[in-house]
Amino acid sequence: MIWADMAERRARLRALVAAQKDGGGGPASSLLSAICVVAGRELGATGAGVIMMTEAGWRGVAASGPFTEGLEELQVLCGEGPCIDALLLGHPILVEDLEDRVWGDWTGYAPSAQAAGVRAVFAFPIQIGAARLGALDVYRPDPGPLTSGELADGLIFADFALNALLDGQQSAPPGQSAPDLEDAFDYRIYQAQGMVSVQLTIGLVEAMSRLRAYALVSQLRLGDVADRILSGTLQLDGDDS
Amino acid sequence: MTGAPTDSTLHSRERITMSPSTEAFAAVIAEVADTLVDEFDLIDFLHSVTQHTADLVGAAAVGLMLADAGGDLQFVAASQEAAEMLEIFQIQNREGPCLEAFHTGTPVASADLTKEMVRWPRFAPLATAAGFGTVQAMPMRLRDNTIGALNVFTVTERQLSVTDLAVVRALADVATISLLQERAIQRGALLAEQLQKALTSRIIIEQAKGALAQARGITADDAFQRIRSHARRHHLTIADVARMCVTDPSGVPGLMQ
Repeated sequence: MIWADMAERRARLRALVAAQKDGGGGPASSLLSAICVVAGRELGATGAGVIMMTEAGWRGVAASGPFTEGLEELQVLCGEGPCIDALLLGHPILVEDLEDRVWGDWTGYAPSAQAAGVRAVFAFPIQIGAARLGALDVYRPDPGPLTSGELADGLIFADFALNALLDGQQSAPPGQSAPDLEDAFDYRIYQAQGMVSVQLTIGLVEAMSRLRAYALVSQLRLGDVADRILSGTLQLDGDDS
Repeated sequence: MTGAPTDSTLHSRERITMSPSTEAFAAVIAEVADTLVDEFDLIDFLHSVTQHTADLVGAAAVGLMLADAGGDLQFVAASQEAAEMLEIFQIQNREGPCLEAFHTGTPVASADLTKEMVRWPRFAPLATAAGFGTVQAMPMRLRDNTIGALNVFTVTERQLSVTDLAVVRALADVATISLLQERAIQRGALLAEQLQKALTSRIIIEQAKGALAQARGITADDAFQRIRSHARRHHLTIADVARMCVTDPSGVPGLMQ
């Protein structure tokens, strides 16, 4: 078995991110920055950054520092790179060595990133099923794979970033955050998300934000809110968020 | 063949029609070969594996779970998509034969689920309430890693034979191999990517089932069947059709409205 200690890993990383953020509820972007800083440090990387897919195009929204910010900007400018592939393909893109021919498709990004001193980059999609929000990039100066533990941590950081981005899209009371989407697969939540998006003619991301906001306000578990949506006993409307 | 007057030679030649199990095996082999081509639909294939397994061993239901990056088992495909089946699989990220098979890397079985209420206090009642009497979980192993488990349920009167178990084992292996086919193995970490992709596809399918059920006033189970038929009719993957249902319904004309 590969990652038996996931709960402990998650708890430890959560504490590190909280400490980095200095506690208290700031805007999502400062939480995202804290996630990037800790991710970079924990994964033995030069830095980490988050790119979001918005209606206006790709946008770098957080980075552990100016160096990483520049690398994220490079992907946005080139319109290519691991972050963008991770989001489009819906799975992590693990580039163990940028010199590998496999990555030759990135004619603009690969040489420029190498010139900046990057040899390995690992991108984790920030998504819930078909709802694509962005991706988390981790940059390393030396070639080589992530260990399985580092891979697990990368996925956890992407989860943290997902929750931060979802919280950023809703008006949660200060100091509180909606229930995290970190529990193992619950089909009810995703079916309810699809239902709500059709009921209210909204996107999947907003539908999930609405479900989480309702769960938070009504002190229910997300799965229980989903149950009520699926059984038709609850219908969200414009006043619920 | 009742009473048909036939030449004995012709008769014996006619008998070279395939038995149902041979036919099912032939179908599996053909589908495995299909996984080698580019436009291979992993979810549809895993779904077929569960259906073929059920047909071949006369099981009431078969499901397939894969480990996510957190080491948690997640439901990916089943011979039935009804809500009670999904619950039976979902609970197994906490307890049950799949979880045990996954942790130990060895097959786990119960010949009488009514006697497992202490061993599996949440799983056993759900499974017996759904009418199942026995369960068999076969680990899906790839070299040193166990990546998931295939789960076979029968009603009480029908227990799996040794031959059945060999069939289940073979199909679990086939499902494991298929996970590695989609892209040439040109670099490491491929398995992590493939597993993540399969699990993401499953989430997209649930989102689409919810959306389609709402748009059409049908059950989630029916929604899955419609998504699958649409995919087959238009040579698309189930995940692609599901994605369009929730992001771009115009891409799947006639399905959402």
